[in-house]
Amino acid sequence: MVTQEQNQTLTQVGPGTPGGEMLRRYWHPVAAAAELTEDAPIKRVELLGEKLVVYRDRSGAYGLVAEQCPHRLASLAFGRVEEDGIRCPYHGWKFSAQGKCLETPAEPKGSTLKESIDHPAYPVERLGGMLFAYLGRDPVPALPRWDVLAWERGERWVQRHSVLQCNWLQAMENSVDPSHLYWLHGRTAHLAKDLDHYEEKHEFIPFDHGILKRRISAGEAGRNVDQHPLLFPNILRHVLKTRDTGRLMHNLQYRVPMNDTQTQIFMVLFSPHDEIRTPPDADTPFEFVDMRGADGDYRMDFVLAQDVMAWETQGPVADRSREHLGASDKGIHLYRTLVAEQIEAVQNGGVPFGIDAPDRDAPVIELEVINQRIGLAQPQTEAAVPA
Amino acid sequence: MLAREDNERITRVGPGTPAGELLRRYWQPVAASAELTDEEPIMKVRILGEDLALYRDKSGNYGAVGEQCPHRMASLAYGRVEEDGIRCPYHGWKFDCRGNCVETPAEAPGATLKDSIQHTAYPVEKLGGMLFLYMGPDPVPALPRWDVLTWEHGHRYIRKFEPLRCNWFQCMENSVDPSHLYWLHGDSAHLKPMMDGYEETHEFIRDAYGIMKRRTTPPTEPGGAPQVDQHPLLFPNTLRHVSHNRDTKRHRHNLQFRMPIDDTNTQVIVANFEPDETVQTPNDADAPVEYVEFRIGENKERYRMDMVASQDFMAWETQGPIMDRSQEHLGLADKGVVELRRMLREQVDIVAEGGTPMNVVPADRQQPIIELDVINERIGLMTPETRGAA
Repeated sequence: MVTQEQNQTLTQVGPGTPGGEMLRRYWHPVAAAAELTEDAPIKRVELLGEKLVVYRDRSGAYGLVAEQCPHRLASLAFGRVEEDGIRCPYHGWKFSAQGKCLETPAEPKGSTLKESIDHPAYPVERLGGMLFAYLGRDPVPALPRWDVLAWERGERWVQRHSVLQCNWLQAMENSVDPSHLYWLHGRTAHLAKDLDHYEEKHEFIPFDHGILKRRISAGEAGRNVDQHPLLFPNILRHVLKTRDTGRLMHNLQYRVPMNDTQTQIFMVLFSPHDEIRTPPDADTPFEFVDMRGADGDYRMDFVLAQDVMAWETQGPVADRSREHLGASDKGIHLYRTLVAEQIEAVQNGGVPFGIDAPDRDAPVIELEVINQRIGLAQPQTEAAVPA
Repeated sequence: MLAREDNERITRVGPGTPAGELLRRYWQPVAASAELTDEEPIMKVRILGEDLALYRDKSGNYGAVGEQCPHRMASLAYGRVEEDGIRCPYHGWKFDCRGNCVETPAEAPGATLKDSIQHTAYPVEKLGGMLFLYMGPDPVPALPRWDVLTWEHGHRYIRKFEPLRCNWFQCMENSVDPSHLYWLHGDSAHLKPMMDGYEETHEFIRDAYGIMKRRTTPPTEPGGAPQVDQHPLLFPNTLRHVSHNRDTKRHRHNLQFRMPIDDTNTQVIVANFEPDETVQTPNDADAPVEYVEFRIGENKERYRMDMVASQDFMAWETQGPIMDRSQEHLGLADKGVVELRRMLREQVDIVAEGGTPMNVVPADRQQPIIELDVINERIGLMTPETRGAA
């Protein structure tokens, strides 16, 4: 349990809030690269309480600027891109990806109005089929080259899930809460036969990039270990195996705060393959996944939608002053402590956990993901896939 | 740029607000008369933040009363009309068009309860296929007989758009902002060939009715003459415009009413008149009404960008439910906007100090017709259309 005040600190994401300032020190995905096309090169996005447009200009460069034009506040989302920037649809003001106002065409020749304008703009980088944004202060840190984004020997694709109608932290707490697996997913996942004799051990091990969650189960299926890292602050690194092809699908689950009560989930998936190659800068297929069915209710036969049901019904922002945690919730406690510490570090002028300076030669960050039940007894490495 | 308090002062429309009191001094368009029929003689309307039941009774008189019955607050919009008023569906209380309670049938014979009831009621007038409502203090002023509503030598029809999710004044600022035409409408209107050589002059001339906006564009061909168009903004919330109807090849004169539903919703209704000497349309007749939708996409989150009106709606709505004018950056090209704001603030102040604002005429000085100096040389309207004396 935390106080209402502590809960606010942990969950608020807007500019100037302690949590929002901490989250701004990390890169966050804003769109799949494939969502921007020649025909639709501009997309409205909301990130950390800021309404923005992400676009690709005619020269192929990306930009991310505040949605409302500073002139008379119409939306740049309905504007048009040119060789070197984006133009407002209303009166034609034009902006560069750095937020400089390049043209105010209806003003008299020689007007200096545009020089007084500084429009909010943020850096964008593309990796593994995703576009990432950095909304924090200088210096801009390195965009982490997680294995799933940077591996080449296999197939990569990305998913945008329907908007989660709750605060981001609820989704993350679930990632250090292995004891929910039996009950929430027991019937649809592989656990049904063990439902009567719950017996497993959980370890939560802090490491360079977050918390390594290790689960040792001992049911009828035999002793199995699986371990999945939570990448601080808002990513789960996971692996699963498809029933139809039997291939491993390594994945990153990004829970991106749009605002205090809405979260955009992106999933990047990578399946190692002897022949298929997907360079980290290549376009990747993109799909939209709806967590609700045609009747508008949760798809309760689908593991991810079961999670969404749990997170959303905890409330738009779960009131943690009313909860009752037990011994099996120790992962949640550890994660909250980590979040609170990083918020405090940023408030005190420090650099939070896991931030590195940019380095062009930085290696791929390969993570120790194991799932014995599906046959992944050792962590996957790119080197292990035949070249 | 405006301070936040000034922005509030000019945009809020509810009863008792400074701009709300100003707007109540003008007849407001509330519906097309054809929307009330024998089968559906009552319509729920929301205007200036007030919920009303608008109706036509069995003897053909129009009325507008507070939607909620003063008895136990059920909606009169689900009531029924009679020869001389409207009756609540719940317990049968009946009201006339002046808000008098004329029956409380469940009360004991001889009850005087009804004499103590004064229900909200506003005068309604019909002209040019539109119904207008006056919600201000007495004396009730003249309903302006604008040319588009009063002319009879042609075709008249009404277009009613899906309600806009923004404050009314954003629409009005757009009417004194000719520099948006090139960018917002350039691709779909006639301006595309000229987009690279933007050069035009704008004048904003105050007159008795509001602001005459005059736009002079350079010649389209070498050696040609400059072209003028001028369209008046009729204070406070109407644009008088003309365009070319590609289907009928006629001039389409129109009045674009931007009626505040409340602070953050606006009903656009356009009354159109196309002169045609072979046709007569009485100005007390109903006019056909068409509903126009402009939202597209799975969740209606986008706008039809192939329609000029919808392009405008995109701009106005994305400025915000009530545009925060403390965040904007105006330039010299926005002088019309600045002029209109000045006018609105002046008139708000006049009403706040107990005076009568501009463009309000006493009922006994109503003119038979008000013909406006609308010109659009590009579409061949070189001098204003007039029928006045005839």
